[in-house]
Amino acid sequence: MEIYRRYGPALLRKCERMLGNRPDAEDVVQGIFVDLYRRGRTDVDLPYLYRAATSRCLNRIRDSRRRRELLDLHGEVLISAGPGVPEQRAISVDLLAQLVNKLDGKSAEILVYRYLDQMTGDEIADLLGVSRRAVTKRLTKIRTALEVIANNGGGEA
Amino acid sequence: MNACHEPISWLRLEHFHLGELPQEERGHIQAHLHDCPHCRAMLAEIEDDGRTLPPLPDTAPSAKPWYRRLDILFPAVAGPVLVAALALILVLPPSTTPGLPGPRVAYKGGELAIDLVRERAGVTRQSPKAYQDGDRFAVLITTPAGERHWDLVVLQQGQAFFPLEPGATSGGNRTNVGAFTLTGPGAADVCVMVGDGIPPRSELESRGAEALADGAACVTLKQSTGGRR
Repeated sequence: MEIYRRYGPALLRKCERMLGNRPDAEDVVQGIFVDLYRRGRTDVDLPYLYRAATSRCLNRIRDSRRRRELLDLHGEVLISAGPGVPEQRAISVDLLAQLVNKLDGKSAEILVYRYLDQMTGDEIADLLGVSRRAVTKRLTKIRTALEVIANNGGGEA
Repeated sequence: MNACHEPISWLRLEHFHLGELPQEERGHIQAHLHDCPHCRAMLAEIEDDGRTLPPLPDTAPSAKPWYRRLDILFPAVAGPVLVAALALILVLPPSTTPGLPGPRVAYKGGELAIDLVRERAGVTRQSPKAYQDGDRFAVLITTPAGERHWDLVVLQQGQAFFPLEPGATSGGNRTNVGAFTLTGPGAADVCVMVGDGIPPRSELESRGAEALADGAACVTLKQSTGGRR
């Protein structure tokens, strides 16, 4: 239970930023730790757990039923990525849900690290164990997807 | 205030908060925080987040019910055991316990209700009627206003299991009190019990559904072997 006590609050905050509500965030975080304990894994660090949380939250958002619920709940509400974060670095639950459906899994993951978790390209490269160049290519793809949505007036394709 | 052009990531701030950064990096962050009110406010959000963690379902190996210990046997024994269990399911009728309370019951001038949200391979379903081995269920309970203790029991094949640590609620609609994984065989009655309606666990183990009193609400999940949900 020690890693749950130590890292659980950080993961709850992260999942709440992604999902926009506390109950879903708690469910995701509980699922992560229950699976870890069942597998006897207690040797994990926060970056590993961040990746696990990102993956599970993205799966939730991809689930169309959950997605509809999130949109009903949060509509156009902007996720505050942080009190000092420039607006262009913050994305809404609505926009995240739209982007997740347009991007492959790895790009969606990078989208979250960059625009919600506020990581630099170098941090993302370190976390994923890939080159900075690979991250930059994905970020270009993400920006293109963002522009397409912006040009369509934010509506769904 | 000037906007911060390259904010410190939430992950680094969490590391900083936990004291997990090397001294040099910690120094860089402290210097940035000194000059940046925006990142100081982000750190304050972390430091001021006084909300408590929900209790984890009981996962200690010694306390696991038998149906959650099967994974320890995998792969040597679990395969044959599961095959045998599936064969058994074919001859077992889906059990529904007579006299079991429904999912919504009147309680203390209000309503006590239980609902489940099933998660299977990343797909969720509200108010499911069936499960497959390994499905996860989040438990949502509705109780009248007022501080009350609750406990959850799963009655399956004449046995009682307690997948969640008991807790307390101050009342409200559809409060998520935790999640658990379910494995067969057989139909499972999932019952929440609150306040005076919580019998001792030993009594539930020995008497099953007969031990349930007023202040219990139950949903039944039939076991399915795939295909339709």
